[in-house]
Amino acid sequence: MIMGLISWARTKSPWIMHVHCGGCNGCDIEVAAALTPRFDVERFGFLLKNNPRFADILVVTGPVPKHITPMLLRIFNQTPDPKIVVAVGTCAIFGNVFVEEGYENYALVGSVDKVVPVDAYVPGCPPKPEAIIYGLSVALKKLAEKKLKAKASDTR
Amino acid sequence: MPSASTLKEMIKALGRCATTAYPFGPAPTVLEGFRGKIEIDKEKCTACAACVQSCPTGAMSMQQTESSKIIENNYGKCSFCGRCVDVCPEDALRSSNAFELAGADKTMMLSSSEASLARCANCGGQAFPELQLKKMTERVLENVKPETRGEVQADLQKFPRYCVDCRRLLSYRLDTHTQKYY
Repeated sequence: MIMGLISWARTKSPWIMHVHCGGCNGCDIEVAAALTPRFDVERFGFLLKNNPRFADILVVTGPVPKHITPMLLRIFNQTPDPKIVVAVGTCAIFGNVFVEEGYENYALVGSVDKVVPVDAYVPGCPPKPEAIIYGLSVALKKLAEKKLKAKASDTR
Repeated sequence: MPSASTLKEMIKALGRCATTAYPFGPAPTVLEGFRGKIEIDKEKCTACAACVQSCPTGAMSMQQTESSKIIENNYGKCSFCGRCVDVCPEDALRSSNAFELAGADKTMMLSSSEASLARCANCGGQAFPELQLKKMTERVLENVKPETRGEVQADLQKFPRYCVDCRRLLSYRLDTHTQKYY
């Protein structure tokens, strides 16, 4: 019952951390816009935190340059365990104009899921704030699923 | 004490709610000219691959099998610039209003259109897609001079199903070479 209560509390107030991985700042502005009173994801309990140790959801933007990968891995490892990674923007999914088949970029990894496991993808260049809200709702469903799995392993 | 204009704005704003109703209502910022997910009209698409040439991110790709050409749109790679819509000669592409594209699996972000290829009657290789051939014939006949239209049409009917190399090879034997027009 306590586990159920904790699970309910987590899905009702998921704290997010915004990780900027070398994008053009378009997606970052849209993530910030989604947090403003006009679009207001804080209605659903999302709260922006600047410390990965407090966060449940990592919102990653940008095509991930190679020199950022140790920091991204460190932030991912510092996040407490039922964690969700949301890749926001086309750069974070496939690398957009910076990475093309046959023209590998020596400075870029190219996508977030080559570094850390990603649970939800939000395409768009940049995605609308509404699209980000929709993507976070997809991430919340994943978070609830992860809770159930964690609960099952705890009772064993 | 705020100034008079500020007070006026404050009184105006009292009755309104600034937050949009999006997840529970329609999205208010989908305006005219918004470029969302690209939709392919499969009946109009002739697989000419003009969109593949113009795509800056490689979202549009073409795969060629033995009997067909397949145009694939991966909206996970798409930057929604709309160049493919501008460049499409058949108006088969359209920017829709769809923005709720987020998903948990990025390999599912695909839509495709397929055009079957005709066989070359001479060498057995690949000729043009049938729909493209039909449209190109129509367009050539539209733009040619009225006095030569009959002759051009007769020429076009001589090699409807030859590939590019065989057309060149057989042009003198079939009497379709361009020299005769001069």
